[in-house]
Amino acid sequence: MSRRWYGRVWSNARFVVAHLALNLQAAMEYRASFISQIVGMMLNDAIWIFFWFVFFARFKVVKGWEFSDVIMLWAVLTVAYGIATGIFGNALRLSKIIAEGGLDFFLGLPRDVLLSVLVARLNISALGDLLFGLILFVFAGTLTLGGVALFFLVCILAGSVIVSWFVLVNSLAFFMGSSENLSMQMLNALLSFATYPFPIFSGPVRFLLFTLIPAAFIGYVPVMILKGANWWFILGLTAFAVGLGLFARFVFLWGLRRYESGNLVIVRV
Amino acid sequence: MTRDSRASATRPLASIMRKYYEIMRVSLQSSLVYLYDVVFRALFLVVVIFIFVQLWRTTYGTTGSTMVAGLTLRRMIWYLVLTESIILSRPRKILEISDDVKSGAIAYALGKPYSYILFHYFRFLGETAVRFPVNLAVGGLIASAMVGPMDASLVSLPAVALAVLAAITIDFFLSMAIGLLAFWVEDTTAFFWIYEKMLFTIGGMLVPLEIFPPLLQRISRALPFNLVVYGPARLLVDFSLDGFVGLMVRQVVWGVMLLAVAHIVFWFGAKRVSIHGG
Repeated sequence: MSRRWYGRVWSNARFVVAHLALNLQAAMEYRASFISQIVGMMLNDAIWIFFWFVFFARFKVVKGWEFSDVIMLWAVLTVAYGIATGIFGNALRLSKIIAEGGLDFFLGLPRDVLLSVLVARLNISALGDLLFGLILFVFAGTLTLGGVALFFLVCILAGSVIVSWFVLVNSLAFFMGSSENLSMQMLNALLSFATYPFPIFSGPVRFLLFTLIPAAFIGYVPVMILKGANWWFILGLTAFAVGLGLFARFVFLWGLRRYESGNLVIVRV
Repeated sequence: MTRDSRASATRPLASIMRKYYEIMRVSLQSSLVYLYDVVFRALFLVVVIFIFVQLWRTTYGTTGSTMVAGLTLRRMIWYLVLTESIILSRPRKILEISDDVKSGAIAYALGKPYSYILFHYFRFLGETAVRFPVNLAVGGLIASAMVGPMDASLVSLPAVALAVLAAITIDFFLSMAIGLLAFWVEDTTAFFWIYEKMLFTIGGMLVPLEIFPPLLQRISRALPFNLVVYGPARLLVDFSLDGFVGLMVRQVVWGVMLLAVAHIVFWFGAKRVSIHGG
């Protein structure tokens, strides 16, 4: 039983890596566009850091958070987002794919439907996020073996929360038809709340950010872990990432039973 | 000049204006069809303004001051309501123009009896005329609920409206010039992101320019981005007749210069179009 479980994970991991390699090759066909999207996204992120630099140059500390904390927050968020939407590029477009009947193609593949659809596209600009986050970490993080390992661990867990959340809200399309706008609002809300220092939010909002819009798990909790918080934070983040992942998968598969083919005729080259 | 010659000279102008008016009207009507969509998208402002209220309430509390950058907390939030409303109301013209160039659709427009740039400008106005009031209403409602209604005098509102119109005009010509760069670079997405972020930062969307260090303030004020966002918003929360006149002069000068730049870029770009028929 355990060998079969292990074998499936290994097989899926190879499947994801093979897709990533193919997607990267395809993206690099258009070299100028590939580079401009990556550089453009890095500049985009840099401008947010610039905003916080100006802000903290004037106000120094906001409820215990300093500029260095925001740098670490952005390092985690951009790497997590880069991993999540870089590898699983279709997570962002899932509701559109569902509403347009685009799952037909993936239903015929001898692989897990959700995994197949998620990895079918690479979000090039997310690689810019990934690179930017790594640069921030090099400047602001703890560059020891343990520090680097912990950074990647929290980024992978936060990335998992992001992908799961995207799958969850995009799966609304199974039940509501065209839910692209709603999904986009939910995604924006998650990322918007996550990019600000958590202490500025008070009681009920904090509860919301740990539950309905789990922004705390992709920003605040990882930063606390990197700042040396206790093991409960790591356990909590791991448990939430696994739980949300399973729940998102359950909702997607539940919705899939309601899916109706759009008889969409497309050519995939 | 006789009465007849005056009439014949004004008729073409009237006919041209009517043509563009119709373009704007059709664009406005199309946007109204998707009003539900526009309102739904505007709900993002609820999240944004809510976060800003939390951030600035904490910041004002930390500094212990009732004024930051010459603004009370309420005025700071209303400043942000207007900046966010302007930014979120802009149709993504850079990408649309760039797509026109990449797909070759621009070749069809070249033969039409209108100016390509003015056609898009009036379409832009029609779309923005629906989005902006909706965004302002949603942002205004959440701001009123959280920090209280705006305490601007009614006299200043027409001046602010005029400044907003000039602001989106400048934004349009800047976007058009950048979008038309697709004639040379093909993919202008990266330019779009950078331009947007210029508006966010040195344009004054995220914070008023007074919060910047002095050197950065000088740079920001010298560039046109602040005229799109900061200028009208500052006028709303801190109105003065001198401020209004100064802003209008700068907006008109930059508007005319950017109109010329957009036309020059278009003129050079259109020369690169080759039409093969078929």
